[in-house]
Amino acid sequence: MSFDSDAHARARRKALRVAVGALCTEVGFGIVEDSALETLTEMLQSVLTEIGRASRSYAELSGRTEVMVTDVVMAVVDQGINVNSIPAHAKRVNKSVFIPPGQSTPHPVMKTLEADERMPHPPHIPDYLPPFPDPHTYIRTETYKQPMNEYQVIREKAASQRRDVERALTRFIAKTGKTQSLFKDDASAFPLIAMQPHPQPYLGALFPKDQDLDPQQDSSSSLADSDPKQSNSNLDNNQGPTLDLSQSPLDMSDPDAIDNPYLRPVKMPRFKRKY
Amino acid sequence: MRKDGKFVTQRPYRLAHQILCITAFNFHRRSLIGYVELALHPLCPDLRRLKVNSKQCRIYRVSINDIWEAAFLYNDPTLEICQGDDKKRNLDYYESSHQAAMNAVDSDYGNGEVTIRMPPEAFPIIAELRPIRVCIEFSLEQPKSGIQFVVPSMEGSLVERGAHLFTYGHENSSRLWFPCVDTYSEPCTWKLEFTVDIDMTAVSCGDLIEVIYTPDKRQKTFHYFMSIPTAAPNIALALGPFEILVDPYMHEVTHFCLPHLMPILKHTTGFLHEVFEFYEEVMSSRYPYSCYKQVFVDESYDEVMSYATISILSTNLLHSARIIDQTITSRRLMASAVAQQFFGCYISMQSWYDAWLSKGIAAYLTSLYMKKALGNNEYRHHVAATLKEVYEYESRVGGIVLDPSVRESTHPFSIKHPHTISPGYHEIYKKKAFLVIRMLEIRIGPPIVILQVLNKLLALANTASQQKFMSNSWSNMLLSTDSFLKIISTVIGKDIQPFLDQWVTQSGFAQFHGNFVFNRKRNVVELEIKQDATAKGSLKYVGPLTVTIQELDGSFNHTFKIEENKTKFEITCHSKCRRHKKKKIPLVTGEEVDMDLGAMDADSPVLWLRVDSEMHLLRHVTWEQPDYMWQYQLKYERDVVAQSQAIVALQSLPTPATRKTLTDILENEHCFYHVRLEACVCLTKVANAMESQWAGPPAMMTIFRKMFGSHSCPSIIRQNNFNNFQHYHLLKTIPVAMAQLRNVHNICPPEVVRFILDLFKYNDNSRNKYSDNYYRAVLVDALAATVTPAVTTVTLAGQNLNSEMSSDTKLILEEITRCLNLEKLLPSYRYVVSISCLKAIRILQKFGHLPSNSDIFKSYAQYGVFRDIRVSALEVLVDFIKADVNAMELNWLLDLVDTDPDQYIRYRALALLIANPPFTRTTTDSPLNTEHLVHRLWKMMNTGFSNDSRLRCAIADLYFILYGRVRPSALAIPQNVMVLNLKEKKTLLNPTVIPEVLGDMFEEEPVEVIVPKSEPEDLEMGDMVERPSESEDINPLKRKVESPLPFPAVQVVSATEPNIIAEHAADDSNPAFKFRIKVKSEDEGVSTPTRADGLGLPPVESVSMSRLSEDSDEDSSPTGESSSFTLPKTPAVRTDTLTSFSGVLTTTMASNSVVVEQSFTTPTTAEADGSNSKHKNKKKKKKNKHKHKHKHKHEKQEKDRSKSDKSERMRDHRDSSSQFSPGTTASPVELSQESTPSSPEFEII
Repeated sequence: MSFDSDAHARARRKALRVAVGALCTEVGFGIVEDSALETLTEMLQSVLTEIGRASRSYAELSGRTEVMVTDVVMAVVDQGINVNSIPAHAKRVNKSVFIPPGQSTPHPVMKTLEADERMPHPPHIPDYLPPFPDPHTYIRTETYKQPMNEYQVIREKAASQRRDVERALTRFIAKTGKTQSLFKDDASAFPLIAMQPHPQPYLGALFPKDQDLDPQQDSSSSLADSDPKQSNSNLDNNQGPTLDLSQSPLDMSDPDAIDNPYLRPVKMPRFKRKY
Repeated sequence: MRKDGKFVTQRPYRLAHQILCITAFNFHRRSLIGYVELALHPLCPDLRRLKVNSKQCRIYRVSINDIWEAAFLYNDPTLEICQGDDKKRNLDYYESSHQAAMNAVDSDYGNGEVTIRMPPEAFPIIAELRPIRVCIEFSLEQPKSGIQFVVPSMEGSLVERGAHLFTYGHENSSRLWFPCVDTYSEPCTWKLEFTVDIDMTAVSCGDLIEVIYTPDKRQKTFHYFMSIPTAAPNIALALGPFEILVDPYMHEVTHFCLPHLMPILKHTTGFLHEVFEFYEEVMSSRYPYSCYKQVFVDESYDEVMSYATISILSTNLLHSARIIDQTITSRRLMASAVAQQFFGCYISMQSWYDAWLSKGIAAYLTSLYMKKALGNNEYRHHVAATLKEVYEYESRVGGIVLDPSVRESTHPFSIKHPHTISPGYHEIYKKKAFLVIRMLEIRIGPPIVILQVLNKLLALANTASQQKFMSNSWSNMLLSTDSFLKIISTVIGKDIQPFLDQWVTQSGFAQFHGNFVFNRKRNVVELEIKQDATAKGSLKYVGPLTVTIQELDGSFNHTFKIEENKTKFEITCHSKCRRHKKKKIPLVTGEEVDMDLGAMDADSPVLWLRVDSEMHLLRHVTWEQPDYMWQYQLKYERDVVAQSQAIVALQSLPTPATRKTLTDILENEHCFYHVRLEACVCLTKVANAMESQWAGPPAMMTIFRKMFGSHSCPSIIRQNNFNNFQHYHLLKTIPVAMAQLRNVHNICPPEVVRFILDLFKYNDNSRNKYSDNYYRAVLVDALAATVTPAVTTVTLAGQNLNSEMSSDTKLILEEITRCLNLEKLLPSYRYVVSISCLKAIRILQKFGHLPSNSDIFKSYAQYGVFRDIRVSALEVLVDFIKADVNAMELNWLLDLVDTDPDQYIRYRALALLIANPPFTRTTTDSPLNTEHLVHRLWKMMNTGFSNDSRLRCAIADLYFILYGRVRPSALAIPQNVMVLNLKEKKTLLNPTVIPEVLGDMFEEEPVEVIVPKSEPEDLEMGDMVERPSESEDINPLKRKVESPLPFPAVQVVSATEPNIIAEHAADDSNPAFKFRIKVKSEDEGVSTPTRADGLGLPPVESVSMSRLSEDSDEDSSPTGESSSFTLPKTPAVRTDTLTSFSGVLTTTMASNSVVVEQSFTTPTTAEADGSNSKHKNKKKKKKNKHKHKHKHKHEKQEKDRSKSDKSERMRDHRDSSSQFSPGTTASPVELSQESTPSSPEFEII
């Protein structure tokens, strides 16, 4: 849009220049310097703009939106121009008439992204509303080729990615820490991370870290009591174990209410008299 | 102990109440200090000495009624079994001494390690039979056994480190941590007090009354009271900074775990209330105690140890909700611990002879719970598997006698004492007890009947436990075979004595071997069922036997009476042989199925036959029927046991039809999962046998892809989802089964290897609610199973083996190292993947793909590594020792057995060595078989493990496996001794001794010495046991004198000997040629006088006493020997019947070698069977006698090897026949005490 307004402004400016030039000729100048012409044009434009602005102000001051002649007259007067001289000026003899500038034709839009016929308005939308945008702006076209078996690829990728991470991690640890070797003469081949004894070996064993479930899913699993196998297994005698592995213990109502000797407070020693 | 079927205790007092008060624990010094107070009721007015059990404890002071100090003596013969004898190395000798030593401290025999002499001031009280209180102050420092201090070596306070302790023991071993009457037969009430640090919790038996601060408020005291009479072995203690969880369903149940473990403790114990409810419901009896505690500890002695109101369990049983496999194991173990509260703790065994009842009933109750939880199929499968396991043990090792009161052992160890039996035997014993209780359930009627019996037992015990002391009703708290018999007859009016005679007091399995033919003309099935009564561990079964026949018209049961020598039976068929067109066939369950009968013989209506289908007997059946019958049985029989049986049979019948049947089973979703798993394994074997005609992809590949492959791409496994446990188990089994496939080149097909590698690659557990750790471990196992021996990787030293590895092996190795490394960073539950990796590495080493190297495994076997890993690393090391014949590693392993802090690991290491010994008695040339090893093992079992019977007996087991009962061949033969190999007619001498020509010891007939099948008892101990109580007056006085000066006592020995000898001489001095005739009479004749001697001659007792007192002082152990050196030499004295063969002389008697003293002066000939005419008359005489001696032995052995007294004599006679007295000129070190029992003319002069 800025492009448009620029073009209009340039066209008006051009017209003003022509007008100023004509006035100068009328007055008797033969040659005008560019800067002088420009200054005069600027002055004219300022005057005209000011008149326009002031007349609009007058109109609005009067509670109107449309500018009336009187508003313009007031504005002109404000500029200190004698209104009455205008008709005389308009009817002067040596008035030069010049042809209005030709209409510029708008550039046709390059239809490089033409994708489809532009949709006409549906019947319930009045015509005056803007038309639909170009089809290419809303029609989706695939820009790549559909793979043959997506699942396989994803699994493949996930597997190799994980494997790479694991391998890199273990190699890193193996390089930075103590290792054991399967080969006496070649310590670098297939290094094994050395076993480090731990004072409480059971902790690592009982809290495995190999679980890639996030805790959210984990908690939901304890609720999923209704295993599908439960329903079908009872029908047939020849079924295997159906242990209900997921039992959530009852919520303890109130630990104080439970009478268990291990929860009772420790008693004070009986008072012993000392002499 | 038990006489004429009645239990007789020889304690001269009864125990009413005991106080155990431990006033301080010290974790750093691993010590504790405290006192016990026993409230005793004397039973005889002249009670002067009383004996209690105590080991390891240091006793400071004994006082009676708090007023009088009492003198006491400590004397423990079990510290060193074979005393003062460093030459004898045979197991029979050891075991007889072992049992004697154990009896010598057995409280049921009135014995004990500590003898307390009553002060004279207390005599009046005792005379009035008024109760007395015996207070014993003791401390325990650095105990080797009985109490485990777990103090992780890291920074922080004891609480932060999770330092804790707990008590443990094999059967009755409470004496290891406090003085007590350590027997099940003496229950009493208890007051227990433990003063501990402020942030520790002491968990023990009975009700926690209160916890009180000490005055300085830095410690607190836990007061427990056990109002129900409880035997000392059922008392336990656990102490540590435990986290406490009160069971949300049953508030009287409390769970304890080490710090940080609370979340998994909650999950693991969440089911326990169901167990209580179940037991209470089936027996319609309330849980007898008022509380129950479960403590999960590290470095536990066993997975589960059950004591009165408290169970001590391994912390490794805890698991989260994501773990599948461990859940079942943990629940089974916890359920068994609760069952043992009813039978084992509340109602405990009266003596070891009754142990089968409490153990069997507890196991039976556990199995009932598992049946409820897992279903009938699982139960039947479990019973069948146990049956098989027991059968395999009995046929391999020997029979198990549940009640050994009247039988002698056929094992190299005595089965009459819980501390002398082999740990392996103990395991199987418990399983057999379960089977027998289950049989009893079937025998006495519907299952409810036995539960009524149990209810009655509990009801009686409940009444008894309410009674006050001395009403004599506390005996109802004890369960013995007799009381059980009585209860059964009152409840159901049946006498089960014949049942007991058959299965309980007799060892072995019925072994049936059968086949059948269909006689078309008579429309009869002719069966032949034979029993193999000669096989090891078998028994001759007489009684009913059910045969189930499936005909076209249905299933029918036929019961036959199995009698001696009857093998032929007939079944008349119901169906006419012409089969009806398209008729459905009714099965035993009542359902009717369509079958394709094309495979079977058109004339026969028999589909299949089964023997004892309901497992009513302890039996092993070998049954022959055509392959199509097995296939029908597998496909259509509804009993899972029958299906398994058919699968086993089909293994050896690889045909396309078998393959089809197995595949069908594998795919059948209605089939029991164990059967499907077995079908997998069987299919592998069938496929390998059919390799040449196998077409298509490897077996099971298609099935696996169908079941587990993803929909769009079957070659990629689906993301894991283990909600269906049947599928989970199949998923774990199929890869391993497939990995065992072999193609024509006998290697694993490459596509299988790729298949397994793909399983690794595509394993994705991100959306599974269960952990896949076991599955990943199985994959590693599968990968290892694909490995076959390396083609030929001839590696020169220093050459890089790696470059020669095949690409497949490289991939495998890479996978294994990746898994193992990853486990260090992201450990799986219980490190199952690491364990599989270690085993896989060993397999690669074994097959030559990797250089053999044990360092890795040693680092995994060290202390501080998780227990499961250690066990598997040890297993690998044992294999390594065997394969590489590595003495260094063997020593390393034995060091570990000697010194490791974790008792369980020490035992496991031994058990692994026993299961996979580096050499056996048949391999003679192993470089590991050294004298050093013999001495080391001997020392370990003789003195080293005196506090832990489990270890001690395991060493004895190992010793037996390595050397048998004979003198180990690695030992140098002592100079004055000659080893005769009677079977091979060879003699062995110490090489430094010039072999002289031996006398005509052998002649016409080849002589053979038979291994004694029975365990000889040490008579000396026996005598002591049967000592009349009056003699007790003499002993303490004697003891006082003798202890410092052993010599007089020994002289008493020698003095007494002639008396006995005289009698014997009278017995034996009959002319030699009459000997054979005399055999029978002598059997009785000898044994009775011996006993008479023991009873009638007080000096004999003093001998034994003195010997014990010497031993009490460990340092002075050689005194026995030295004292015997001082003995005046009395040649030709026959003393064998009473002595314990101590001394320098080695007497090894066994199957093929006999040690004989060599007489240097005697001109002898080595001709074994040549008849020498040039011998003098005198020699002839001796020769004759010798011959007869052997004969006599033969006959005896054949005749009665089961009678205890006689077998004892037998050994002595064997000794006498094989050892020849050296005569007067023999080397001076010989001992008269030792020497041989021959009549004077027997000697070589």
